[in-house]
Amino acid sequence: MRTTPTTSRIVPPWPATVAALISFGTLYLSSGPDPILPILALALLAVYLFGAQFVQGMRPIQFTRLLLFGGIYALSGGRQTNLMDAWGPAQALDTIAHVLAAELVIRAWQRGETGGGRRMIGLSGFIMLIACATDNARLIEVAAPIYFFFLILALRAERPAPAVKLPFRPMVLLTHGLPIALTLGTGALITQQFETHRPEIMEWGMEALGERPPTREGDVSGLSKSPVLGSTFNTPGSSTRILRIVGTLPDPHLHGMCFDTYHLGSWGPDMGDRNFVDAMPAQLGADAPGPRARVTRFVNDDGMVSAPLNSAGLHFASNLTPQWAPEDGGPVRAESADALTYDIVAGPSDTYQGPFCLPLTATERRRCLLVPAEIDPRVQALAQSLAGPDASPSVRIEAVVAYLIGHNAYSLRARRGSGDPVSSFILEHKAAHCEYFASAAVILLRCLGVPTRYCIGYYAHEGDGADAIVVRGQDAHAWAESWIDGVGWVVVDATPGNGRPDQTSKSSLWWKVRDRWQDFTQGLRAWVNRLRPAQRLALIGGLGAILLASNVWRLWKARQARAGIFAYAAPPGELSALAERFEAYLNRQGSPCPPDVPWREHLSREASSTWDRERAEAFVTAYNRARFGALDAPTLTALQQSLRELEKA
Amino acid sequence: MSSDLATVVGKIEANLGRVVKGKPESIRLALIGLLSGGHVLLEDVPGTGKTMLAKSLARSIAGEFRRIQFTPDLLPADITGSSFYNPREGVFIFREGPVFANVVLADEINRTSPRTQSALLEVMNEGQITIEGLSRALPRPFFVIATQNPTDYHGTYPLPEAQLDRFILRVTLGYPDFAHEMEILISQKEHHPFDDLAPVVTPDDILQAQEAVRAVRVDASVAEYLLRIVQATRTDSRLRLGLSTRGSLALYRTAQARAALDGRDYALPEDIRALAVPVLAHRLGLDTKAKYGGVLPDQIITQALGEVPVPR
Repeated sequence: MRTTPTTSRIVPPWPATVAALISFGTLYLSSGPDPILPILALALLAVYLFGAQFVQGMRPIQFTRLLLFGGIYALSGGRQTNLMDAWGPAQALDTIAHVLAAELVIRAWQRGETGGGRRMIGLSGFIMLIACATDNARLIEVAAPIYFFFLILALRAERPAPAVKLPFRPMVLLTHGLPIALTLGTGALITQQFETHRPEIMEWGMEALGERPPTREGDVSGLSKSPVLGSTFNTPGSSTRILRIVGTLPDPHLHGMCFDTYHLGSWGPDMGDRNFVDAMPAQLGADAPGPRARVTRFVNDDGMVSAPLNSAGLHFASNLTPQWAPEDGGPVRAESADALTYDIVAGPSDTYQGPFCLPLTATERRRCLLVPAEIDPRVQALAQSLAGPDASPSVRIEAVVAYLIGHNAYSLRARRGSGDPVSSFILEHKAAHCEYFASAAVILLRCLGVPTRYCIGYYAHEGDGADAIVVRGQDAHAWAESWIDGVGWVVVDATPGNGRPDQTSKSSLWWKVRDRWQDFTQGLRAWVNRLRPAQRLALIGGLGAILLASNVWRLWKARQARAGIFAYAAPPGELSALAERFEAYLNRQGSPCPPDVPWREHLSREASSTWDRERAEAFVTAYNRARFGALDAPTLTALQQSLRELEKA
Repeated sequence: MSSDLATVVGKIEANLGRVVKGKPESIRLALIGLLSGGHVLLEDVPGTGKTMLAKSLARSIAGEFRRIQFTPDLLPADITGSSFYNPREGVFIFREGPVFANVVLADEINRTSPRTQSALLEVMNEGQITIEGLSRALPRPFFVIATQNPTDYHGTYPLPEAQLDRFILRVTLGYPDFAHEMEILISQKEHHPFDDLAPVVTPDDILQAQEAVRAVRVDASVAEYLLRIVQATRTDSRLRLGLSTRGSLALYRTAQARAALDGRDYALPEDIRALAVPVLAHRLGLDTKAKYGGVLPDQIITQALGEVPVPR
């Protein structure tokens, strides 16, 4: 008779342990943000639990998975004008891997009743999911396949072997192949539908998610160094913390980088086309007087340094040499792998001109006044109708801002149109997001002879404690900056109030939880990165020890529970003593009897043993008669005698 | 064990051994079913000797023996019997059906309609028939030995678990080994050994043996062991239907019978282990996922046996 060893159900299968270790290692090595995938995994789990209520539970699951896959596909590729650029093989692989990871975790969870390693698999999968949500694509490419391999091994180990092996039949191929083909076909169809109706789905999804755009790995900072006006955000940004500012700011608009060349919806020059030189502390106004705000930058993002336009100066640590491009609008860069800290010197007044507000040179003036040829002539005419020829620059600026806010609406979905996107926005579609408003303001002001440039940066609004502000990737914003002779550069934000980041970010519980989770994982990774090698080793060892200890504890508990359930009333004292002696005898012979096997059966299994089986069998027969039949004094004496002989032999 | 029981069992075993060769375990299980006072289901592929075993067992007992070949057009009245009008005397006369016998062989029970099946199964349980308001007691001992072929489903009405539950145990035969099959070939050269088979025991002998079985002692720990195995099946998630109390009782009674057959007046945990699969497996209802996932009821029982510690 085949018996199942009792311990195999409690000790987790070893591949599960390996999978857990790989996931820990990946977490330890990875760095990067984005909590959306663990959340997705949880959502999928919820879907599974719901789906399990159906008798034929697999159908809704399959369908939901396909929907999810299509949704991820649509959301991942949706922000680029050119789908193929956004949706390369790497992203596809990555997405599928995530969906599979989530599903495997759920499958592991599903094996509740028989699953020895289910907690281990579940835990490791969850950690892997966190680790997967990183920037380090190469790491995931290497770790994920290995992880899946062991996870599948672990799941297989959990499965009881089928009793009958079905012979191969062509019909099986048909009956199994047809649903698979249908599933694949349905998946392709759904994906295609997603692709066709992506804008609608995007809009619906954004509304459902509180009008905040979905995120994708790589779009952390929300700032594009070569802005292009598209149908959706250029880079919508994530909820990752970019900056934390302690102190007061003269202006919530944090100037990052500006552009003055426009061509068919694209702004230039690119970062690479600018001439960067080392910036001396004096040039950056490091010692300027005035109140200071301490900024911690978490994300490097090409070393971009953000500060209000009218900051009097920037102060960096002495061991750091920032760079800037004074001839090309002067963005300041300071490369740093870890978090970077710098001080912003707030200017005494709105018109104070600091390092971001270098006086306008003749070349720059020419560039900032150039109205590109592709701009519709009606835009020129419109601009002229807004302000008279005698109006001062500030009046013209006010007129343009008032016109744009009054006549155009904020929308996350923009129609790029067939020709020049800015002309089409001003004249026809009249609904778009901040990038369009900023570009339109620049063009209209240039038409009115006000030198204006396009600027990207952040809008700081989210409080963090008493006097600190947190800036996240999703706070990225675009606006215009105009030069007024005698005053200097001023911020021209023509985006309607409901389009500014402080208004678009909803304060729902969902987003709060998401942001907090994001902060936590980001902090955790930063913390791990700061550890010394010995400390990291200790951390991994500690986690391993916890895993080991938890398993030992579970084993012990399961044994206890078993002992409690399966305790039989002990036989009379003399018999108990005899039974214990006989068990001890078997142990001495190197053949301990498992608890689920009667002695006689055990003896017959140990046919090859060298010890005295005949005597042992005689003892067992006599013992059984006494134990389960009638116990009398002569039997007991005979039993004792028999055991004594056995022990002697 | 009383010497009567030993004689009875010995005689029947010797008798059956002449016809059914190389299957002492199956013969023993059938005898356990008979001596426990239950009914036995023989299940295997065609041509393995199911009917031969059943017929030989029936012929070994000198009581009334009837055989019913189950066909799709069989009616309940064909089993239980019915009343006929006697025009000469002007009264209805009850003509007894084939169930009024000591041993009834229900051949290919799954080939008849559920209606007819239930008629037989009801009789099996109650030991009497009520027809036209009159209860008629069946002769004692009353032993049904049914056969069915589990693989050919075409044109059959498989018995549901509730009806399978009425059989105290299920015996499978399997193919004989090489030597025994050779022996079968040679022994049937001139005529079938079954033709020489004569009754060796009387119905009274069987009744007495059944009484003796009930006297076998079952220690509390053995009963507890039995119940834990049953409990283990009730909590198994792969089962739609765990074991019934009738199942527990059947295991209890058959364990007594096995002990008696072994010449013991006390039952051992080994009896429970040996009988768990034949007595319990056919009563289990697998859930759809397990059924199509290749799980067999036998495995579930075996697994439960591997989990529950044995009393010592």
